[in-house]
Amino acid sequence: MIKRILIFSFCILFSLCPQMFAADEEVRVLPILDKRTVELGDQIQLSIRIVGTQSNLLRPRLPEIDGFDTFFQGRSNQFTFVNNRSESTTTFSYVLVPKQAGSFTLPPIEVEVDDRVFRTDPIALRVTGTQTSQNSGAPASPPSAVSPAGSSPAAASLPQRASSNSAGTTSPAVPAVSKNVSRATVPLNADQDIFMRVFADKQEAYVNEQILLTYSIFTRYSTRAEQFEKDPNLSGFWVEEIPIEKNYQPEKITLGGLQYLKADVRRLAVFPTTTGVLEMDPGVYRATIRKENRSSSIFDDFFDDSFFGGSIFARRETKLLGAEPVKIVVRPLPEQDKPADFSGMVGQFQMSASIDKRSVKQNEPVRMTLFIEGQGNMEMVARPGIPEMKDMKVYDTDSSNQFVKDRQGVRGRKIFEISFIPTDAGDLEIPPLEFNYFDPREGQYRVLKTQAYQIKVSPAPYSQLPDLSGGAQGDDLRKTLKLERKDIHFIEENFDPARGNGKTGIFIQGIFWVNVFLTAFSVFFLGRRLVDERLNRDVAFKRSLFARQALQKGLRGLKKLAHAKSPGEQRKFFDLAAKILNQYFADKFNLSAQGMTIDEIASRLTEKGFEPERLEKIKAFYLLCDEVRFTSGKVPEVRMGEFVKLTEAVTGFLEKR
Amino acid sequence: MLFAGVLLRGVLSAETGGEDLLKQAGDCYKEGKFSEAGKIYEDLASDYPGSWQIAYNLGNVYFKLKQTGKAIAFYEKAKKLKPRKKEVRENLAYAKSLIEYKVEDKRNWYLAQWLKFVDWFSWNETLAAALLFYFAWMILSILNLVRRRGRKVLSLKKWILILFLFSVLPLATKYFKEKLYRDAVVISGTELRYGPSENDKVALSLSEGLKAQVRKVRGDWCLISFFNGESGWCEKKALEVI
Repeated sequence: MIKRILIFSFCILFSLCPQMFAADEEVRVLPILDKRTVELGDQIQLSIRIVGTQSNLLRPRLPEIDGFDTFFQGRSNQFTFVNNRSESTTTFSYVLVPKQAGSFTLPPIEVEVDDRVFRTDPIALRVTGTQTSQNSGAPASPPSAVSPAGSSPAAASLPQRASSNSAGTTSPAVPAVSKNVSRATVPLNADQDIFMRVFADKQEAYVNEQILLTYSIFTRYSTRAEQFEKDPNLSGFWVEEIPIEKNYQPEKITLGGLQYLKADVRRLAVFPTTTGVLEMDPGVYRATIRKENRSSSIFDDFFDDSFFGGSIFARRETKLLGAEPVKIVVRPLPEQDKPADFSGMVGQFQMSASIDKRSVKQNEPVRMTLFIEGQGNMEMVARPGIPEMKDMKVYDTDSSNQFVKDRQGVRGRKIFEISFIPTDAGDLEIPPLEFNYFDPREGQYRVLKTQAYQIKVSPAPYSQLPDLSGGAQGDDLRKTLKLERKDIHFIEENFDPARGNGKTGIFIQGIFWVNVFLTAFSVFFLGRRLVDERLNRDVAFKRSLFARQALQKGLRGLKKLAHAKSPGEQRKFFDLAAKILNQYFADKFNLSAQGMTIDEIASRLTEKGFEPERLEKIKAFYLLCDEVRFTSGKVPEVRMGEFVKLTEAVTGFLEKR
Repeated sequence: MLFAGVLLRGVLSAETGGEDLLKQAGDCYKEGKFSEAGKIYEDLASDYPGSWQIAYNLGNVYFKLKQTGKAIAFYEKAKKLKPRKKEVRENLAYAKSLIEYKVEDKRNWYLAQWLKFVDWFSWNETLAAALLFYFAWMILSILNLVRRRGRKVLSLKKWILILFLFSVLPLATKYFKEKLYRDAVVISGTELRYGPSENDKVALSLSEGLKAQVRKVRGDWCLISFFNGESGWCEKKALEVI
């Protein structure tokens, strides 16, 4: 009994197994919004959920969304086994901060999965409320997690605001000129007491090498930083915003004998995506200065912003600040020693890995945690490729980022969790994973490798169950063959035109004609049988019916004696003639031939209206026959013709009746 | 027997030739030249109207040419000749699954079930069954006449007669069904009108692939009905009689 229960349990377990290893899952890309209507100052949480793939996904690039600033919050991975079915889910989270009221559309977001591009549907968004915050130059802050540039250093006297569409975004920069560029009363860069400079930490770089850009304002006024009127043109670069520290303090510097306050208003880490001499238009920054009688020191006034205690009657003047374009010479990566599967990463990186167990049962996952840390475009770091393993299934279970963005640029680490599920028992190996990058300091490619891990896999209990090839137990535990797609069956080529309709037609024709014959035969047989039955029922009728036939037969026998010469034969003739005629009358009148007399015959014939003359002749013939038969005298001459005429007269008369 | 003789006229007579054409059509189909394959199969279909293979292949050709209505019509023809052929039934079901509309069957359930049962057998099969039972009955009858005794023979004869009558029923159903109406399939989108002319009002629009019953023909127009009870006139060219 226990054995049966065990076998039954294992069978159920095995029947579920095929689903566990379903490899080709359907990929779904789901955009999820926490709300579709938002007030100014509030924000919308956007999640792009990618379900059903274990591939190494890159972050989807959000298209430009009218009326919104977008901020990337991070990604998360989830790997679940539910009802013996594995499912991998990767979620990319963004925050959308409205800039103005109105109705907007979230354009389709493209997600590339395994060389296939998925597009979400456009989604309508509505922003309610007035644009007070924007008008006042203090728009809603981006989320703290990703908006360092937007979180104004409140303690500083130079309130600053990053470009409205740049904080935290990692999209390649697209020049976006504000529609309402206010050409203020003071022309661009006309004032030597306030100007902007852009500093790059290097003038030459390799493709995808990190370059730090710092936008600084030098001022001798009491100044308030506003925002970029015209965003810097950073086409050809992948851009990462670097936040300004919360406790940032402008520094005092002397230029040309004049003292200035230098304040960084924006810091960027940019990564060139193309080669050549790339020129970056620094854009136009808007700042306002306070025009009033200065006190003894401009530096005191510098901190004396109208927001922070300045005279409310002070007149403010807008300054639009430009700067010299920045030129960067971007060199291509050397082709020499370039790995065939080069990851594209440029910077300095390190890699380490660990696994959670080295001895497992079949179908039990081994989790590897892989760390890649360093300095460079960390967002682009993808999980190293894993060589194909026949006896292991690989799933990306989770990944997380820990990025640091500061004056030194973008650095941090990416953590990948990978599940290896052995499908076979035995000693298996997780091969080394390789991550390659280009080190711009050394000017050469480097390859990092994890160690190879030996895994001891013991068979799962159910693998010891009945032989799948059809053993004595008879439980077939193989996967069910399922139809994947439908189409019509192929044409039928088995048709012999010479045979036409084939055996069926010939058979039908044959049996038809056999049936016709059988029907005719049975009809004949049946008729005959009916006649027999009728005759047997009425003997008088039967005798009457066949009387003439018997007479004819007798006459044929009598003809042999018609030319008899000897008296003996002649006597036989008359004897036979009398008998034939006698038999005929007996049959016709349904009487016994032996008991018939000439008088009875005569009376019957007279009753029927027989002619008396002919009756006399019959009587005479009978008397002659008796005379010949019973006397020994001279036998008269045989007159066959007369006898035939006599019988014909009799039969002719009787048959009509 | 006379009835059987009438039906027998439909039995295909053996003809020769056409093998090369058949092979040529098959080759065209394999090479994706469906139009050419279709022309050859159409020629063959006129020579071998009783061949389910050619009707089935024509259905395939029209399916590949995206003419679903015609494909369904020829699959129906093939099904009529070879009702239980798996490939025919599956292709027909698949093609029907692609059409826009379906017709709800509002006939009496017993009538619908009986006609479905009858359609499970071809003309030839029902005819052959009836002839076979008749043959057996005749043999037993003759035996009975000759021997004039044998209760066993008599009992068997009775059962055979019952079977014969049962086999005649589907045959008679098929025969009289065709006398009443011919099945047809709408092969192109058309309109069902209240009368046999363009001047008559449109009752409803028909999409290709729907199976209908032709009740009456008047010139270029046919009075058709559907199993849901709807009926009307449509142009003959929009139909393919099965």
